[in-house]
Amino acid sequence: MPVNYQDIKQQIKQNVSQMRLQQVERNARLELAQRLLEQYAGEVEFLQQRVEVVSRLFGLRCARPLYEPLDFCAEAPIDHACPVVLAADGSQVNPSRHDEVVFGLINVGLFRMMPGQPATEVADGHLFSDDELYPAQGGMINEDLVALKRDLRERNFLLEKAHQEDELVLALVDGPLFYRKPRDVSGAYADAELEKAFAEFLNVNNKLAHHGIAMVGYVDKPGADLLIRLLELADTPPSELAQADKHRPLRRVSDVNLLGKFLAPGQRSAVFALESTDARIFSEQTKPHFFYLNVGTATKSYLVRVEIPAWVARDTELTGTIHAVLLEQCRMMGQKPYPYALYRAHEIALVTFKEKQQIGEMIAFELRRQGQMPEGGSNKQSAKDAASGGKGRYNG
Amino acid sequence: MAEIEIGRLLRAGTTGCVIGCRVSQLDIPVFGGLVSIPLESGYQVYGLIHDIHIDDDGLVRQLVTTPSLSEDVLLDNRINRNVPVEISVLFCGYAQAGRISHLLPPRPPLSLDAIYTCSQEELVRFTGAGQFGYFRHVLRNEEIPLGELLAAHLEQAGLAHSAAGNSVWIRSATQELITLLRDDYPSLVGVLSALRDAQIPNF
Repeated sequence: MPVNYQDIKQQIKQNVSQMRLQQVERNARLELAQRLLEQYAGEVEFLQQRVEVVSRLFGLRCARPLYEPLDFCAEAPIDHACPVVLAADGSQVNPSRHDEVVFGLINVGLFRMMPGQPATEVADGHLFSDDELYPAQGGMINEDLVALKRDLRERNFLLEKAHQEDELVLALVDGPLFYRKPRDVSGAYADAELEKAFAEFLNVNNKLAHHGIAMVGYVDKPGADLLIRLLELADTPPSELAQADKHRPLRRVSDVNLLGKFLAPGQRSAVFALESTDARIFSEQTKPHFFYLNVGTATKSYLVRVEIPAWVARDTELTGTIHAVLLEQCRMMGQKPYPYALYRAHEIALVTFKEKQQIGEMIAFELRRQGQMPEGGSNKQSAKDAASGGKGRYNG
Repeated sequence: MAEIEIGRLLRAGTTGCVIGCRVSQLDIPVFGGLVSIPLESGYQVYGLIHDIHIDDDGLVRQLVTTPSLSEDVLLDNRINRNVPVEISVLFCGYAQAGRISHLLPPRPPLSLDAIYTCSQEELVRFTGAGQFGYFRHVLRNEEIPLGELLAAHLEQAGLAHSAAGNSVWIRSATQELITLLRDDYPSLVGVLSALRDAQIPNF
């Protein structure tokens, strides 16, 4: 049965009509946010105290200003260090009991750039062992743990390669710098494995900081409202602070909406600390910080969030270098700015559907060669494949 | 010129094959050049390069519109990226136990077999054997730029023969082409026109 396009079309009309009304409301909220930003721009100490107080009352996720005013904006420094850029990205095959053979794979791609030197690339693939696939607690490894292990391998690979460099290293990854620990792990999942992997993840972050390797997380098209949440907190009357989590006058306005009004192309915002329960798990040196950066052009603004660890955030010169290098990287890509090195790392790491199939076939072949029969795919998977005319879908 | 590996085989059929090579290897193979593919069974296949194809992809399409393309990005794309240059080769003979045949090879080479350019001596040896029988593989193929391919090939082979002291080879080759194309006037005119533009001594 195909999609009922007539029915969907009617729903699209209704949704778009509602969105127009919501947009009017959002614009009004955005104006309020701009007024609050102007009002509290220089009140850094007050805002720090406010975050400190509220964070003791309930779990909070917002921006905490460091020393720059909220409406701060800076151009990239003209003279800056020329670090080695190491970009890492990972791709994974999540094991599925519906496949002919159950296997999991992590592939990490690393791309190195240094002005005046030929760029180089390297990939590192890891096939999960039986013990990794089926942890002692029972069940099969879940997608959260696979994702954490992928991020862990990315960091370890960066650490290993950065050690071989004599120059300053910017270690670039796609997405947030810190991993949000999954909370919805049920008993069937590998809690102990997850705890262990997360401890290792924190440890490798500490090692990177200890060796002065500047980690940078590049968040494209961010939808967060960290700064917006800070303004809402600032706007909450002191007597109502205990209910500040319900005070949301700026709901659905994002940081990008707000900062997009005054960050010119090439400029960065103030550096903020990320205040959250998860962030507190990180060491003092590696606690996540961030700034927004307009990597767009005069005709089209495009804001991204750049996450850096605390020790980098405290170093203004290094922050400036990251700002400048990211702009250079984005400009290499022309009309759709995105760090070139990250694009290449992703390209190296990507495991395509065809590659996944080939690896599955290789495992099945080896099993048969050693006298074992593959389990075989599920009937459900066969039915799905038949329904899609053999056109499989894979979101690796 | 010594034999140089220019790439490895991507796919093949009875009459030709496609080779993949890195952009950094591209300064060696030339249109109309003779290449050889040594096979494990003791014979080697010869062919003429009739197409060099450089594909694009999403990144290249995006980079093309970049106002000032960085040298680092340019080199990375040419050296590291996995976008092979595809070279199409038309089989025109083989050698077995030192004997050259202008028939099609008994079987095509296999995936990832290495392909080499032919040395001047090998070019002279292959093109000087027999009575230009390999021309028929070129002439029957309607998908190739016939005149341009023959002109490029005769220019290279003519120079090699001339350097080896055989200045009549080019005249014999041209005469053979005229004979083979005597009933196909449009093709003959096209080939002779292309040969006039080639740098062929005493032509």
